Amino acid sequence: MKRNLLMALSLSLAFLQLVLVSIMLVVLLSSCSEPAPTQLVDDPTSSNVKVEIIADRPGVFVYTNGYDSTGILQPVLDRSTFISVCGIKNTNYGKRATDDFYFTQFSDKNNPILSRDKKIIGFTGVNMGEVRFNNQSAQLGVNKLKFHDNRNGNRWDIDTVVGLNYYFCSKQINPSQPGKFPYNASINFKLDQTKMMGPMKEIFQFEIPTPVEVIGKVKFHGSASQRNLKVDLEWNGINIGDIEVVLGLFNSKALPYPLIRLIGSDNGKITIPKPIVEKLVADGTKELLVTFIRKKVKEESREFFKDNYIVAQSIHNIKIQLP
Amino acid sequence: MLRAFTTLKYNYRRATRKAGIICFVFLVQGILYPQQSFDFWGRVQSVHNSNFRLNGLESNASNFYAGKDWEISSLFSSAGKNGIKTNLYSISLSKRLGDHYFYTRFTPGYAEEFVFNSGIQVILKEPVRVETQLQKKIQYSEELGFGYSYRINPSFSVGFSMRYFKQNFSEDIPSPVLTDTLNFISISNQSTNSNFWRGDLGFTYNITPSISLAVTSLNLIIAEENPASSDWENYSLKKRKGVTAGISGSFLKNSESFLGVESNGNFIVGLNYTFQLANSNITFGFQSFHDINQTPFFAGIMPSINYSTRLFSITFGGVKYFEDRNKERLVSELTASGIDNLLNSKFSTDRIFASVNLALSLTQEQLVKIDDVTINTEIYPALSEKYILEPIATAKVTNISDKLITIRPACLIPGLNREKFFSPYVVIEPGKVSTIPFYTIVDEPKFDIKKREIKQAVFSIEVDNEIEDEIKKPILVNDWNAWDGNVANLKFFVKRDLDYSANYAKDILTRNNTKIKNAMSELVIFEKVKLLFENIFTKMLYVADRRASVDVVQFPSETLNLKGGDCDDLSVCFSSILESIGIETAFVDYRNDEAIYHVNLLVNTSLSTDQLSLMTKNDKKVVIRKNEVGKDEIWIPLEMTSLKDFSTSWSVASQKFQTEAIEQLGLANGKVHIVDLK
Repeated sequence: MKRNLLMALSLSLAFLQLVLVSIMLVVLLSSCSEPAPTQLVDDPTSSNVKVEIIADRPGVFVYTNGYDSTGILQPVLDRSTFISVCGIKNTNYGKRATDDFYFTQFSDKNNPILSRDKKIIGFTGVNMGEVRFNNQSAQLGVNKLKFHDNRNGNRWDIDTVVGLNYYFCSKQINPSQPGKFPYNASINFKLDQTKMMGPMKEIFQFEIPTPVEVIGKVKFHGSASQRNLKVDLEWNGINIGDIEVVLGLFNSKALPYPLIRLIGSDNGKITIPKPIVEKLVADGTKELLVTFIRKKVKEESREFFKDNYIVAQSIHNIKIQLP
Repeated sequence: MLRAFTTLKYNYRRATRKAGIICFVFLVQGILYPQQSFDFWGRVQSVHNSNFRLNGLESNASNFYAGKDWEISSLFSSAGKNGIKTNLYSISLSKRLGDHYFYTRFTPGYAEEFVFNSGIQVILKEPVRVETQLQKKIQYSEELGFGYSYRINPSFSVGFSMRYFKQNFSEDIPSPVLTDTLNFISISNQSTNSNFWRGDLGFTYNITPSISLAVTSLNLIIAEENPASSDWENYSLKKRKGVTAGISGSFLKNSESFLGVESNGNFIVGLNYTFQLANSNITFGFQSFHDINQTPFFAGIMPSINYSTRLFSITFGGVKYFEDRNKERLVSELTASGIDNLLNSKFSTDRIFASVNLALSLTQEQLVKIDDVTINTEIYPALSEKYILEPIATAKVTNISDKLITIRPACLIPGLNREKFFSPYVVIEPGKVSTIPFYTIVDEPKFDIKKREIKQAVFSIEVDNEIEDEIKKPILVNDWNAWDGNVANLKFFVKRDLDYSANYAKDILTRNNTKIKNAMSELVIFEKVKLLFENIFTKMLYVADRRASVDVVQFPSETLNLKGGDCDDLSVCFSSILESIGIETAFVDYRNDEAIYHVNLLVNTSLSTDQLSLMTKNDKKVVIRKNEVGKDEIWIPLEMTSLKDFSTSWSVASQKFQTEAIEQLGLANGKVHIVDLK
């Protein structure tokens, strides 16, 4: 009898243990949840590349400036004062190995130019006096605004003059001679209003600091046919600020227009993201205009130049054939 | 399996081998080895508590430890990063078939996931300008594993394991969409997999029953389904080849120490201690590990505690890293050192784990077995005390397990024992055969054995209070008065009725107190002997033993009640009478060439030799013997079958002793023995 009691006790204990463990299992199972992933941070020396579509509305805007794909002459530049001085270097492209380009536009933001669908596509440029760059007088020019107008199912290319701007460039006939653009120095800008009609009689003058000349190169690895084409963009990095690289295509009239802007640290190397390369290859792109742009933006706080964008740029255009 | 589930009866008796008990045992498994063989079960497995399978694929491919029949195990763990998250880490199933062991497991919790910036930001302009950071994601996981091991002998086993790993690499891809009217960047996700199998070999060798060595390869065989592309190569799980070796030993009672080393310099040290609580074990484990890719030198500790019974085992433990594991980690750290073990790397965080183990065993593993039992002697119940000192049977017992076993022999003779009688514990080394003695005792007065008969004695061996094996053997049990013919064993008959004899003697002496008082002090003993003989034995008759296959001896109480007996009955009776009142006696055993024997008595008068004349002038009527301190004392022989009077008895015995023991050199040639009762 004693043995039977013992066995009954053992069975009871076993059953109790089973119940306890089952409860524990239910509790544990019901509390199951996925652990969170581990977030890793970027190395201090690593850099991001920003990718932006420049020509996002080809149906409306004409992105080509007739020269290169820099896109500096954006169709809509919502600043009252825009001053740009550029030192340009061309490789496998253009008529001259080097160029420089000085440009100013004073926009009347009270007179916006609207598209058919009421979007601002530009402003009227106005004459504000005599403009000189390093005491070289910039000539007045017409501010042409090009855009597409879609009417009655057709696309019309509109070329309209909307005021004035100033420009100046020195032409280099002999490509072997270095350009005159003063890199890593400054350019004097002067606006002389003394000869203007009206109450404006001031002379404004300031230095525009210029960046170190950018010298870029493009390296290919792999091949398009094997779908492992890799395009490295390299230049003489100065590890200060950012660099822009604009990828431009050529339109039907063999004019370049900016398509994609890449912005990265000025550390000397950017790899074009693979999907972009693959897209260009897939679309049958044969030629590409790669433009390196190193900018130096000047802050000007005087009231007259409020709402301004004053920039000095070193630009290197390289025309490449995609392998 | 279904029948087993529905049966709830649990039978502790090994002999019946019923497979009715069903219990789920989720096993805690795994010897903790460093780094690549890092497990989550803590250093709780020990030879002192191993009712469960405690080896895992991480530790040793030759997983041939305490595995039993079918077993299911599972483990839960929780990590501390980003809040407590608990999930199921592993479920495994194993089966033992003789010397073969099969194992498989599913490991949903063996996973690690990383997210980091891809290095590309997309600037979206519509509807508002926003910069979107693109990301990369890596998911590592070990999906399942298989193992097989084979025990070549109790000391050596080999095995191999196969484990399946999955790697998923995904990243956000900026894809330009170029049309005539609208150009934009579409962000999509691209994912690739790189999965592989990993195979390893290993062996376990028990150097001694308490020291074992285990060696396992690391990444011996790698079979990749689809290698990672060059973009992801640096992020893949490391598959560095190597070897891990571990040695564990039980150098102190109930504790086990461990040292494991990997070929790349990682190592782990640990120890545990087990103490028993009723029928369960509680084990405390502790270990610390060094990893060449982690800081500080001892990267962390892993305390654990385990409670286990035969039915289940519960383990709690944790991993505590000494480095701050919540700090930010760089992408370059992942590519530089990589990950060898999903459970333990520089990216792992403190965690706790809990495992609940229930054993699902339809049969229980037998640890020891009885080869045969030899009955040493037939049972003479009157000689009960003898069987506590001299085994009635011996058995050949083999330890068929691979660990040291402590057994407890037990014997039950129906009709003789009320319950089984346990003999001392015996320790048997694995694979060894040991000769085990069985002792017994006669439970009285409940049993009244009046006839000689054969009983089925049950000999069993127990381990941890569980019967491991049992065998029945016939044994001859004589009746209570049976005597094996060994005069030395007559002392058991003498001692059996000492109380009765004492009362009887004292009664006679009391009635004759005057005579004793009047006797010379030196002759008090002599007078008492004479008095008792005259009052008891002169009234008795000599009665030969009944015809029986064995000799029988009457107990003193029986002789006194029957008032008669043969030489051994009467000698035993008078010896009991005298011994009960402190008078020393001895038997004289006379044997002739025909094995016919005769027994009479020697009585110690406590007189010294110079006091002989007080008793007799004939020195041939006495026997001089030295006492314990070497002093000569006078003993007188008495022939108990001569029942006329004391003098005649003394004379007859003296004559016989003088002739056969002295003159015929009986004492010298072994035909005459003096057998003391002590």
